[in-house]
Amino acid sequence: MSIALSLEAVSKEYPGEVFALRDVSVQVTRGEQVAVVGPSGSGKTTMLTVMGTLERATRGEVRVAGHDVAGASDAELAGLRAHQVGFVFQEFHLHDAVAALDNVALGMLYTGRPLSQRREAARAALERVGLRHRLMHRPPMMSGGERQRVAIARAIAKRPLIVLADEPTGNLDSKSGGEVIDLLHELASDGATLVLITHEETIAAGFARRIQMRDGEIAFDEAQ
Amino acid sequence: MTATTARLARPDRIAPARLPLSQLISTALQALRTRRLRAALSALGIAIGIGAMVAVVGISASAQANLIAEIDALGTNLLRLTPGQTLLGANEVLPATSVPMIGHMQNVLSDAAVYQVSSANVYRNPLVPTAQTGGIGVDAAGENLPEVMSATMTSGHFLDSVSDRFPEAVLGAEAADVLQIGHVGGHVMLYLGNTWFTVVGIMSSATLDTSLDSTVFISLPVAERMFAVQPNPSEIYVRANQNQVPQVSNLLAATADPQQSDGVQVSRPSDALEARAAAKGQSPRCSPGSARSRCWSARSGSPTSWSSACSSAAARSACAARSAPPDATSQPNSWPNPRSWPCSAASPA
Repeated sequence: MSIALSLEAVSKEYPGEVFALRDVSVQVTRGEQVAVVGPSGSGKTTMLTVMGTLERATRGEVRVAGHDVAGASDAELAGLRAHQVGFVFQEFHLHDAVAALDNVALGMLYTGRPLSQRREAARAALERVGLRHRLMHRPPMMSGGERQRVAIARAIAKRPLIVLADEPTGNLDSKSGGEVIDLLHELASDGATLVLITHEETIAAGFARRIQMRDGEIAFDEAQ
Repeated sequence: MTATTARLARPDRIAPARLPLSQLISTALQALRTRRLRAALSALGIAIGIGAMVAVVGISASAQANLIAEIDALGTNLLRLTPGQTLLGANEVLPATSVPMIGHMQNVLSDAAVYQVSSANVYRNPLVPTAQTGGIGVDAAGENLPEVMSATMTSGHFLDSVSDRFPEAVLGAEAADVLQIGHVGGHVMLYLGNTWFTVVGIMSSATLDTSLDSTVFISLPVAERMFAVQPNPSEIYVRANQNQVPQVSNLLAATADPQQSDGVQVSRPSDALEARAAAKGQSPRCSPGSARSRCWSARSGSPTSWSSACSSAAARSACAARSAPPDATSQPNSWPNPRSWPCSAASPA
């Protein structure tokens, strides 16, 4: 099987010799579902942003979908994110003034596809997450769980190779959170690679592979 | 799954992010449409900013435009002759024949001479200390000076035939301010050269040569009789045919003083004003008179042409600076003062 994500001796250092990541090495194969757990400040989100090319590593090699991130320009990384990576954030980051359909279509803006095609893909994604009846509703008219499902639809509508979720249940109650996690599992079972950050051990227990982080290092990885 | 058994996904070229222009525009319009208050406030802010900029620039441009319009109204065909200096630095003197000679020139419409009365000072009354001259000079002038200078009278009248026989004086605008004489009603007197003079008129500011503003004018016969003034002009103002200004200018120095034409300086007062406007940041608009403006150097005997009309403010400024009196360049905010020219006699003080 091919590797979707590869971090090799990756460090992320901020001014003042603050290490958010320290010699992290991890590989995620295509279609794999990984939960990343750890206390606050352990480097989970930093690792996710490095995986998603939102930040560049200070040292080490990062490969996303087979591409070496260090040698890629910012424009190439934007293309990589536009086509290969879907993000789900705890805060949803939805455009409150536009309908769910256009929110999802907006997530594919940089793919260069025409609006009609993007809307068609957005409709399919929203139907897939169970929001067929909410296509034209704006986020303020939806519940937290529905908003997160819109965000998930936005992440998967372009059929990315990798879905990165940063505590997607953090703002949801346990019932809605459970539904979101089930949905992510279901979607990832189609072949997408899923890396999910969570604080909740019960959610992490549902993943075949768990990575435990502490002080910027991988304390435990079930794959090793 | 371990790393050793896995193989990397194919490292093809990364597909670039693309945002076609049509989608960029539609997305921008969508943002405007969906966030109307923000768009409106942004537009308001931009409008206020642009309005402020336009106002700041407009006020300055308006002032300059007014100045240029005023210059055009006064005419750009005025030329001024002044005596210069010899190569050794001695002051030249314009001959007494220069005025009639210039008057006979073809394409000279009118001319007026000014004669400096350096031996006299003017005071409000004899009790004023002699050192307090207020910077006011005394000149003798002909009757047609206001006409040639396009100056008007704010009160009374200019010198006339009566002034040739009696001690009458006319005040420049600034001189009137300094002497605190606002009108000539009644019997306003001045103490000039130990003699009482009657003030018969007050001139408005002579825009084309504001050095005249700080002057008190008396008639030449009176000046000759009372102060022994020689009829050698300190300045001659010439109105030339509008279409023949360069040609007239080329001939003026030789006509005024055929023997010492190098000692005559010819300048065009309107050029200095336009250069001043240009130096403030905006090129003056073209006018029939200024379109082919030149500055002349009588010393070199040849005109210095500007490469293109109204296209180079810097060139015009430099040209005007050459034709301006020496101290004018050291006082950028003041008008050229002929009294301080080397050719002029000493200050009345």
